[in-house]
Amino acid sequence: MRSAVAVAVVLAAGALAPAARADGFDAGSSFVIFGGSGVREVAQAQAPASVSGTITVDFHGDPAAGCAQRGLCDVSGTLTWRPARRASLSAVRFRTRKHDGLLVSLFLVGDDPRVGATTTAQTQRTGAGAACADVVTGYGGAIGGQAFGSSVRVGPGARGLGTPGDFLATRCPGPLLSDLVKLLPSVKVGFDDAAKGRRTLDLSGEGALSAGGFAGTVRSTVAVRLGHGRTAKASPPTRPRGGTKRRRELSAEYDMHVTGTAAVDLTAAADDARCAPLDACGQRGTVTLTPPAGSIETYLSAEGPASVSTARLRASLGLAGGPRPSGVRVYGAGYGSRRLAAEAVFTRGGAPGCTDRAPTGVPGISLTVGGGRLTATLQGVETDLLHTRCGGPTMGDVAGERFVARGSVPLAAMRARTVTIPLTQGRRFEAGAWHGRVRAALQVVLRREKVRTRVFREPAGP
Amino acid sequence: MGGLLRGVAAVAAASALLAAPAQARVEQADATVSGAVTVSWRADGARGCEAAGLCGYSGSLTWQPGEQAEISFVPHFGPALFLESDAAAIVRVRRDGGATCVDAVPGDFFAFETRKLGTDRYALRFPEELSSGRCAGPSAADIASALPAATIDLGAMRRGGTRLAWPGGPLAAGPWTGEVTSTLAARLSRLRRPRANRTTRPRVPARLRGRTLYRTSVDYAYRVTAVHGGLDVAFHGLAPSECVALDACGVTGTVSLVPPSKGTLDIGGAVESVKPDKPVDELYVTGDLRSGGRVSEVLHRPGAPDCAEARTTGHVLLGGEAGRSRVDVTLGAEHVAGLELMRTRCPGPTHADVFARGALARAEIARTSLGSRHLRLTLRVGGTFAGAGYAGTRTGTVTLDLERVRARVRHSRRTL
Repeated sequence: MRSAVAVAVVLAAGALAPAARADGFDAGSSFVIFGGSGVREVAQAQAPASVSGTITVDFHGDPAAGCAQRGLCDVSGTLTWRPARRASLSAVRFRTRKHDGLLVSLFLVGDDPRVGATTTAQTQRTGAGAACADVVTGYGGAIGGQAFGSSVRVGPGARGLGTPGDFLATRCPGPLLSDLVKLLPSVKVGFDDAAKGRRTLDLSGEGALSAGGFAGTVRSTVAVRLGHGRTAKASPPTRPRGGTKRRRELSAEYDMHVTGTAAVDLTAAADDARCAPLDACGQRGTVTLTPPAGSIETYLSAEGPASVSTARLRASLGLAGGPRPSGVRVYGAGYGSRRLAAEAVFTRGGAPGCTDRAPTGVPGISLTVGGGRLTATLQGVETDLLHTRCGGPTMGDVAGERFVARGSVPLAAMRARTVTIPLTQGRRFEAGAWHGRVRAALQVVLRREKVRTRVFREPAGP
Repeated sequence: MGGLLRGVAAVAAASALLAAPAQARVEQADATVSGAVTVSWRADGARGCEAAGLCGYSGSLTWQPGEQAEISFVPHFGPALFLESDAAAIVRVRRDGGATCVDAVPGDFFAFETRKLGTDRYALRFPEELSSGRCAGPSAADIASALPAATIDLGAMRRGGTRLAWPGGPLAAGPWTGEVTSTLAARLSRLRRPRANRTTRPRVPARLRGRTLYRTSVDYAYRVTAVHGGLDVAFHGLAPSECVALDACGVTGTVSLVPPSKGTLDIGGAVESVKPDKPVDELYVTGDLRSGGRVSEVLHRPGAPDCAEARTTGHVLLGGEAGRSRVDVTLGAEHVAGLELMRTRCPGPTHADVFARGALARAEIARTSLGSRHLRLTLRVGGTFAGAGYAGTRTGTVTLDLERVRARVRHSRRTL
């Protein structure tokens, strides 16, 4: 699928103008970028939507589900996910050489926590008289899918595009999204649903949970009410108006492998006012992150005016010697599709506490050039790499928008076909209920596969 | 003709930029923020929790801001420290023998208040932005008062970087006793003047040279002499799947808002055209009410004493927009970050839950009445709302009596 259709779905102003406000909806709009050979977009449709209802998970530790080996038998509670109230359903018909296909996404528009998604958790430990309460806000996201055919399943329970984050994750212990995703609702959506709108997608349902150490009930009352839909035929890209300027880009493509581990050592705050609301008092532990096996497609690019020669761009990436020109932009990243594994081992008051191992998020490695060095940085901004059934601080608590782990090599090292970058710089954190540090012992190995150059035109700007 | 008009508009806009206040006197520094604020509180019998119906509540707030901040200094206005943070404050409040309310209080844009202490020395007070949200707890004013102001010395900053800190302290406000623990700090670089932009007069296209550009500006200023009426909100907790997280199940309540009794309203605008006497279509509407506003709440929970709390509102903004024949005036300006006029120390819905887009009430007046010596605006609100945990109705009428202070229509022209 990936070789035939390379798809990226973004929320931006695009072919469809925002839908009229006659319905009282304020729709965003979206377009789909297609890449890959032999893929052609046929038509787009979009309908604004309003979302109501919640998904509630009532759970308790259950020996039959494996609570004993995780130390979660005394934990019970409720998780509530309240999606963003505004949404937009987008559908794109596309055609490959052999198939017709449909890409559908339900964008939950939450650019303001006042109207965005929230996940609330309230849990307690039997006999301890202690309770954890937490809320995590989200700015929206998309739930959708793609298929060859005329309809696609959409909803929290559908196999979506890419690797969605766990929208049930909070700092309290509880089940993972993967424990109950099969119990979550989905509904079939066709192109006409977005083109015509005026339909309610019923995402309600109920099911029994028994996984990951917990048993309980999953209940959804979510409904998506579609407003008037609109369509737009695919149009060829238009040439930019006004002047253009020629740019030259050199891209080096790498296979990247990440090995080793990063360990987050945490200790609960001594102050009851900070640790008690999250039932963290007396807690210590380590969450060890292990990157996925397999290679990650990675690129490092240098871009500048066309007057800058290929040789000078190669120098910007360290592929050749010589002075590095000014006015050249260098950027790079590697994104895989596999999740890393997080293993949590906690104690409480010196006695064994919760232990759990779970796949969490897809790690991103960014590459930057500066000061004569290439720096590789592990970040976890998009998904919570630390989330297990034990709860604990989020990656946002530990690193915020800063790095989780990083390391660098002299730029001249990039002349070799294979480069190893040790990521051994971690960080300390102070996160309200917990404090601690990240011990990084990761290695990034880059093996250069290809170097491409191209010259292109872009608008000259104002 | 369309091209001529577009050309005129472009030249006029560029000229307006040149006329902006001189940037050369502004000084700026980079700022990086670190740390976190934790507030804990409990209801205190000695502080009157019984009369307020809040005994048995205890809670906490944690807030860890982002790093981005900016500080600038403009003579006469003093230093301005702005912190942008989309990190929500997490509030957790327990009710004895009952449930827990958990809420996220959105953060956005924090503008620290300035007070002059001496030559080049200022106190930077934490803004009234962090509160207990929909849960029972201290107000934004209560928490801001518990954080001692940081002191900034601009003279020292011109010589080198500096560090500001807002340490915590005891919290004693209304029925609450508690503690603010703060490691919030800002590291500031040296204060410097940004490089002045080399702006030049805009180049006038040849086809426009010698043409006359006519400018019309209008300015109507009014003083609010009397305010009558008020707004009422009746609310109740939603169904169990939606009310549990906020401990709002089974509750009912009312919030009453009496706006401040004095204020000002300004309506004005300007237009430039190659034609003389072009009407000014787009008008700004701005103003505020101050002095004496009050919001009061009563929340009823079966089997528990009623919670009753009241506070002053502070300034209430006036806003609106104008069409060709009508001017729309709103009580409460729309899309203003951090606007919160509903919340008291009792639990209940927020301003955003009740009034979504920000305006509390609206009135329309004919454009032909602008400039009249006396105006009466009748602002009305109605309808229903359903937000996080709560739903209800909005009712009420507020009447503003206005007296003209200034009515000015000016015409001028210049040659391109």
